[in-house]
Formats: sequence, C-alpha cells, structure tokens
Amino acid sequence: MAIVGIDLGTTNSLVSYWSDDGPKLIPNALKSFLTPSVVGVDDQGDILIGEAAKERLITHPHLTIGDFKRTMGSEALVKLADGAHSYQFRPEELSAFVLRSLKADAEQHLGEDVTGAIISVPAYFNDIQRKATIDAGKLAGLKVDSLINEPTAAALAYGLNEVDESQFLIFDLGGGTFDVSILDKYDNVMEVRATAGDNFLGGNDFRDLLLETLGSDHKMDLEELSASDKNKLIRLAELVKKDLSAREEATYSAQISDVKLEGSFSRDRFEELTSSLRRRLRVPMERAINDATLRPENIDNVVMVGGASRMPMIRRMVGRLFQKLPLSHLNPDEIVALGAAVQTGLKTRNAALEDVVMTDVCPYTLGTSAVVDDNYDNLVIVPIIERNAVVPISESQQFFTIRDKQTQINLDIYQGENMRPEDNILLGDLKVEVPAAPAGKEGVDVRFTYDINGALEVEVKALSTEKIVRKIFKNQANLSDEELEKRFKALSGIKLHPREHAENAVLIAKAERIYAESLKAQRDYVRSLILDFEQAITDQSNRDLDKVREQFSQSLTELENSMFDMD
Amino acid sequence: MDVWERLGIEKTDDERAIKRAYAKKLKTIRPDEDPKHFQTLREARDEAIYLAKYDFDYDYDWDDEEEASDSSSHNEENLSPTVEPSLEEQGAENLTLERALDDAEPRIEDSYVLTLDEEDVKRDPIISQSTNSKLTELKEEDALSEVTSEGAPSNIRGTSNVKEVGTKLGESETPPNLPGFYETDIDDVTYEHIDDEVENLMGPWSLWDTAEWKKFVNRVRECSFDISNYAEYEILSALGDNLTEAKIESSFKRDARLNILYYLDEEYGWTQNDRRIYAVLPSDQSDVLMDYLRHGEIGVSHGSGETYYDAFGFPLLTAEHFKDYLGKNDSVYEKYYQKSYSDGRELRPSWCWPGFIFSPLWLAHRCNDGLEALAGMFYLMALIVLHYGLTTPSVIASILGILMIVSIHVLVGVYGRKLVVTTLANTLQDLQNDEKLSQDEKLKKLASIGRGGFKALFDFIVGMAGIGLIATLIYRLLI
Ligand SMILES: Nc1ncnc2c1ncn2[C@@H]1O[C@H](COP(=O)(O)OP(=O)(O)OP(=O)(O)O)[C@@H](O)[C@H]1O
Repeated sequence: MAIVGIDLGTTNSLVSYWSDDGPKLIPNALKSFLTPSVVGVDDQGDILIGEAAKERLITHPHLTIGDFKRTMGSEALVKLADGAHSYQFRPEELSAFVLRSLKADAEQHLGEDVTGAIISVPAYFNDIQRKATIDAGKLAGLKVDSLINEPTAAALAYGLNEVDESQFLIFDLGGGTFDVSILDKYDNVMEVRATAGDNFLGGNDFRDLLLETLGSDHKMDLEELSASDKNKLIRLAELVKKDLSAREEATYSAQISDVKLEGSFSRDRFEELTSSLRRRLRVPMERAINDATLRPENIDNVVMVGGASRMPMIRRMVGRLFQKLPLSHLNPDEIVALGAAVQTGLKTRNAALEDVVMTDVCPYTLGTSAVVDDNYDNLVIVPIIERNAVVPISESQQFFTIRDKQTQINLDIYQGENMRPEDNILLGDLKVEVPAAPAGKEGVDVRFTYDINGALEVEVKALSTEKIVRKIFKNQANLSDEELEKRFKALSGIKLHPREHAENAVLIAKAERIYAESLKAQRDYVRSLILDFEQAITDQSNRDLDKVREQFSQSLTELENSMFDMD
Repeated sequence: MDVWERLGIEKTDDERAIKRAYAKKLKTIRPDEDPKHFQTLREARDEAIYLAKYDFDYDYDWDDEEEASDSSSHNEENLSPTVEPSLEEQGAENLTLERALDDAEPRIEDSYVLTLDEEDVKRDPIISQSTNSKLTELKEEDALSEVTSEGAPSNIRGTSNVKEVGTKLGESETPPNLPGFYETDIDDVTYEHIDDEVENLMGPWSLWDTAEWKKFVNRVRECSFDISNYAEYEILSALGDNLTEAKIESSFKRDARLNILYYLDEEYGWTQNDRRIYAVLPSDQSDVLMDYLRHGEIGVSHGSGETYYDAFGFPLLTAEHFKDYLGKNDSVYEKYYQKSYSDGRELRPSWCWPGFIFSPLWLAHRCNDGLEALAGMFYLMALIVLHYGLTTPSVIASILGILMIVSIHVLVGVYGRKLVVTTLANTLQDLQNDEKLSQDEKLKKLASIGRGGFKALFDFIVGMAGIGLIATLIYRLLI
C-alpha cells in the first residue's frame, strides 16, 4: 500500500516515492528514470509503452502515438490500427497505459502494491484537463489522491533544501507546456504567490520550427510525406535540436525515402528561427511577477526546470531578464517528479516533513457573467475568485434580477481572464427560481468554492426563499462514471507488453528502426542481426542471453553512430 | 476578534513578524483539513500585512521610496506599468539598460556561490536526487556539456570551467566574461527613446510599416521587464487613439496593419488576458481593439456552419471550406486565397485558364449562383450581335460582337479565381444566416453552387437554347 508521485509529461513520464531519506525516483524496466510518453500496439496486439514504442514511431507510425497530453480534456479519439489489430483510444486511456506501466515499475521496485498516486499537471491546465487526468488515473487502477501543479512540485523539490527564506521563480519549460510560478519560502511555509503559463508552448514547438526549416532546406513537402518519413524527420529535428544545445553547429545526415538529407545547422540560425517563441515565454513571466506584486529584482533566484530549459538561448534570455544567472539542476526533467514525491510525503504526514506546509493558488479567474449598468449589451464577466487567490478558498457575491417579474436567474460559470464572456471558457450553468417581483428586488447569493485539487463547487442561494442550488462542475468533455467503469473494464482486458521482456522489445524496435533508416547493404546486416537475436530469444536453452543481448545492443549502437554522424 | 488576535500577536508593522505568526498558526490549521479556518487565517494575515504597510505607517515617518514602489505595485488592476513612479526618482532619461546591467553586477557576486565541488561532480547524477540534492549553479555551457551525452555525464571538464568562472567572478571588478550572456545590442533603449519611437511608428494609420514595427518590438522585448512593460503601455495608449479613427474598410481586403496588431498580440498576449487592455484603455476603445484582434483569431469552423471574418471583413476560409465547395482538394484556389491573405492585400486578379477558355460554361460550373445566367445572357447577346454583323453584313456589328465575346472571356480569365473565393464566402454567409436549412442541406447547396457539374451544364444549355429560340422567334416575327 504505497502512494507514489507521478510526473505525467508530454514527452517523458516519471514515477517517484518518498523514502526515509527524501524523494527518490523509480527506474523502469530499462533502468532509466524517464519513460517516454509514447504508446503503441505491438505485433501481438499488446500495448507497448515507453522507449520501445518510441522506436516504433518510425517503423509502425499507424500503431504508435506520442504527444497525447496536448489533447487531454478533449474528446479526440486516436485510432491505432493496421491489418491485424485495431484500437481506438481517448487521451485519458492513452495516459492510463503510461500510468499502468509506471505503476508496474513502482510495484516492482517497492515490492508492494501501489494504490494511490499524486500526479503533477501543468499549473495552467484547466478544470476539464485536470478531471481528465484524474480519470486517466482511475482507468489505470490508481486512486489519484490529489493533483499537484508542476511548477509547485518543482518548487517543493527545490525549496525543501533552501534553508533561508527566499522568493524564487520556477521556470518550467517542458515538452509541450510552459509554466511559471513564484514562491515565497519562510519558516517551513512554501507559499505559491502566483502562477501563469502557456499550455501550448514547449520544447516541441522549437523542434517543429526546426522541422519546417529542415523540410524547406531540402525541398520537401511535409504534407506529402508518409507518416513514417515524417516521424523520421521529426526524430532528426529532435536530434539536431538537442545537439545544438551542446554545440555551435550540428551536422546531420539521414536517409528519408529516396532523399539523402545532409547538411549542417548553426545555433545562431536556430536561435534566430525561434525568437518569436522565446519572446512568447515572457508573457507568463511578466504576468506572474505582476500578480505577485513583486518587482523582478525582488526575485532571489530563478530555477530552471523541464528538459527544454537546457537550451542555452533559454538560459541566456532568463539571465538577461532577471540580470542573474538562473539555477539549473543537472537533470531538469526530473525535478517535477521529485517534487511530486515530496508531496506524497506531505500528504501522508511523513515525520520528516511534519513541519512543512505548502499553499497553492488558483491559476485563473473564475466568475459569472452579468449585465452591468442595466445595459443588456454590456455583458461582462464578474470575477468571484480572482486568479492567484490562495486555495482552498470560498467567496461569494450577490446578483439581482434585471427585469420586472423575472422568475428565473441564469448563471453561466466562466473561467478566464477576459472581459467579455464569450472570450472565456464556459464551465457550465445553473438556474435558480425566484418569486416574481420588480426588477432588482429579488436576488441570489452566489458562492464559489475552490479546493486544493482544483475542483470548483458553485452554490446559489435565492435571497428571499433561501432555496439552494448546488453544482460541482463536471464537464461534458469528461467521461461519466458509468462510461469510466465501462472503459476501465475494457482496458483491463488489454495486455501490456510483459515488463520482463521490455529490454528485448526495445532492442528489436530499435533495430527495426535502424533497418528502416538504412540502405541496402546495411539492411542485410541489420536483418541478420535481428534474426539472430530473435532466434536467441526463442531458443530456451540459451543461457547466455544476457551476453547476446549485450552484443546485439552494442552492434546497434555502433551502427547508429555511423549513420547519425552528428559531429 | 481583530486580525492581530487571530494571528496571536501584538499589533506590529514588522512584516516578517506577521509572516512568522502566520507560519506558526499554519502548522495547526492545515489548508487541506480545515479550509474555513485557513481562509480566515490567511485573510487576517493579508490584512495585517496591508495594515503594516499602509495604515500603520501613517503614525510614523515613512520612507518615501517605499511608499512609491509599494503603492504602485499594490493595486493589481492598476496596470499602467509599475515602472513609472520609481522611474521618476531615478531620473528616467538616464536609465539605460547599460546602467541596469551595471547595477545588477554586485548582486551577481553576492549570490553566485558555486556549490559544485570536485566531490559532487564525481557522484553519479542520481545521487543529486536525494534530499540533499543541490541545484547547482552552473555556467550554461557546462550544464549543457553534461546533459548532451544522454548517459553518465562527463563533467570533469565542465567543472573546471565553472570553477574558473567562479573565481573570476569573485575577483574581478568588471562584469563577468560570460559570452553572450548579458550581451545586448540594445543598450540605447531608454524610456524617452520608446516614447519617440512609438510616436513615429504610430504615425498616420496608413503608414504602418511591418518591418519597422517588428524591429522595434523585438528590440524592446529583449530588454528588461521595465522597459518592455513601459513600451507595451505606450503602444496600447497610442493604439487606443489610433484605432477609433480607422474602422473596417472594404470587405475582401485584409490589411497589413492587422498583421501588425496580431503580431503585437502574440508578443504581449493580449487576447489571453484582455484585462490588461481594459485597464489601460477606456472600454469603448478596448472593445474596438479586441474586435480587431479576436475576429482573426477565432478558429474557423468547417463545413458551411459558420464563417468568420477578420476585422477588415476578409473571410477566413480553410481547406475544408474549399473542399466542401469544390468537392476535391483543389489547391489552386486555396493557394491563391492563402497567398492573398498572407500578403495582407485584397484578393487580387490572378489568371485562370479554364475560366478564360470556357468562360460561360466554367461560370456555370464553378459559380452556379445566378451570376452565370447573367453572363450567359450577355454571351448570347454577343453571339446575336456577331451573327447580325456577319450576315447583314455590318463591320461595326461584327467587331462589337467579337469585342463582347473577347471581353467576357478576358474578364472571367482575370477575375475567375477571385470570383470563386468571393462566391464561396458569400454563399457561406448566406447559408449561415439561413435557419431553415439543416447542416446537410447546407452542404448540398454549397456543393451545387461550387460544382454544378453536368446538371449545371444541362440547365445552362437548355436555358441558352430556350432564350435562343425565343430570340429567333421574335427576330423572325419582327422581320
Ligand atoms: N539537451 C536538450 N536540448 C534541448 N532540448 C532538450 C534537451 N533535452 C531535452 N530537451 C527537450 O525537453 C523536452 C522534454 O522535457 P520534459 O521531459 O521536462 O517535458 P515533459 O515533462 O515531458 O513535458 P511537460 O512538462 O510539458 O508535460 C523535449 O521537448 C525535449 O526536446
């Protein structure tokens, strides 16, 4: 009976737990902490997750999918199908597979059942996306004890060791999302002062720009490429991007359909290409600082989190903005998971964390629409809970009828920062009956309660009759309980690829990818390697499988190095 | 119970003491277990801090400086940039980024403590995940040299560099030699400079220059928060005055200026959070600005459901719209549309061969909305005139007939593509306003206009023949 922390990322997911000496990451079957958030169907119709699936993006593009976190909270169905197998999944279900695999890793590592989890979500995830994440947990058979905002988690991991009081800013640029939080730490209180972000800005956008440019450099029409070739190009762009974090100039060479791509890309060009993305990073930072009623110079430290914060241009920009060197961890993509583990420790009241209290904020404004100045055209949002209010919070406001003999008051509940209702996200509506009376005589008291998990409850009370209508918001895009139950059953029927074979699966997937990427002479060689290896696996009597695997892996690495000659 | 009792302390103006008291109480009142109590406690703290800052101080001699910066930052909705008050103290004119950089330098020395020593380095990176994990301050390149090789970092080389920089930082007077780190080519940006520049750029609405705008915005956006905020404020207030004069112009014309507005929006995130705009501009001006920004931004829904127009009345069409209309992915029209749109110009003439060669038939096929009937009649008249000219014979009538025929071919050739796009947009709009039709019927209608096919041709020929017959009869009767 253990509770784990999970960072369910766009590109990578991690699982962690609180141990007697602090937060610890849990390795997966491949002994790596990062499990790529990629899901695929293998030749047997089982579900493959992580590295092996990632390798198969190129060889089996129609059976493999990544980046699905971006669609969380929508009803987008993903079809994974080829001749033999056909599945359709919602984003929650795809996430559930990743969670299931992480859960298995944790159970293996801890030697006990894992029943609960604290999952981190981008701070700027809205209500609908949060619910989808909780549903994903349920589908994976995990009780999601609570959600934690990613930058808050990072802050927990970082701030725990900061003895002094300080105010710091967490800059979290992951694969698909960008979050900023400002924290104030004093006397073992970790107080989130403000949070802002952009749900559609991350390392992958930098990659995509590079992708487009590579495509046009080599006169390729990206739209026309086959799914497999497109994934090859994406992989190439990703490699070049990462290489440019280390070097001034990345040289690449790759074979995509009949075209041989060769060339080099300079860091300067990449930085110039992405300047607009970089500037978009400023908006959330400015907003967070303003909301925290601080000035940039009051920020003692800037902590860089998320894999994409490794890019030198990002650090330089942050350094320039704050006029100080940002802090970075050796592994910026692991911090959020560590923080989630700290949160599990807090939640279970671990003795080591007895004294630590963390308070978070609601990252967006919640309100209802109302007419002001008795002018019907002048419909505006009336905020009830202002963004960056400390949660849990409960606030109320009164509204009155606008017409004579009005018998019903309709309340639309919105989330967002804009003045006009239509520009915000509509969460739902409520209706209350009131006795007929002259305009302005009857009214309602509207109370919004927002809890620490980001769930909103609205209670409307008619002033004269004291009649109460209450609603906890559950959005249409989310699954109903019955539906959830049904899908849980369906998913339980689908097998994950056996964990103990994970290593072999990755190697074979990788070999197949190299096969797809290579040319004739090399292909024969790769094929013979694969066949030999498969033979060794089926051959039960072979006691040296480990050694064979080792050799196979080495041959592949050598092959790959000769192909993707990156320097 | 007043706030001080709730916090369990004496009245004080020491913010630190208030926070300490709050922290102490918080250990007994957990937010997740007792939300009500927590909220009252928190409110008490906020009020206490407020009192400490503003009310309490009245009894004392207060520090001018503090007041200025506090009052400006206190009011969240007061979005005129917080730089203004403190700016005056510092002498706005002289404050260049260069100076800001100089000012910042000593702080770097203070806080730049290198915690990475030899031992830390030799450890496997996994160890740094224990509670004692240190977030190490690294010089950017070193951190990178460690992460790029996916496996175990070879960070010995990296560290020695860090150490070097560290010692350099500690000793040297001049700013650290971190290549590119604080390097800017924007040292000349001053507040005054911004005022001038914005005024220049804003000029008459007709003279907006995309390249100049981008250059300016890129430059200020690379500067410190203060400068960038100040520029935003200036731009917004100037926009407010400027916009109301220039309302929507003609339809089917998209203005390059709109691109500039979109660009500004992307930089400053106005549409995500328009309270910033409403705070700076009066609400009528804000509404106009948001109109400009929003209508181009909304996603275009597919399939004759709804069409959107940008602030200049240019319809926003997608590939799906074209597909519904033309029945296939005919990239010619779509590309033509996209190009006109991204050029920021109106739909310009663009040669259309099939339109030129088969004019009336092509019209019947592609723009089957009544226009082709007019064109057909005109064409018939031209034929009659030509016939008359040739049979009478009359040179003038012959030439006139030929001219009429050529002109219609040329016209359709020149405006064919534009015609397709306009017909599509107009039809979409008509259908959208039509409440009687179901979605399916709308799609059918759209298709019948965009690809009349054989039926259109048949109707067209029957119609022509009919009119021809009547014309011949009248002609016979008259003669
Ligand atoms: N050395 C590097 N240089 C540049 N980018 C890198 C480097 N290493 C990782 N990245 C980028 O970091 C991103 C992944 O970061 P991370 O694992 O923190 O994200 P995530 O947690 O999956 O996403 P999110 O937090 O948005 O859900 C990817 O876009 C990847 O390309």
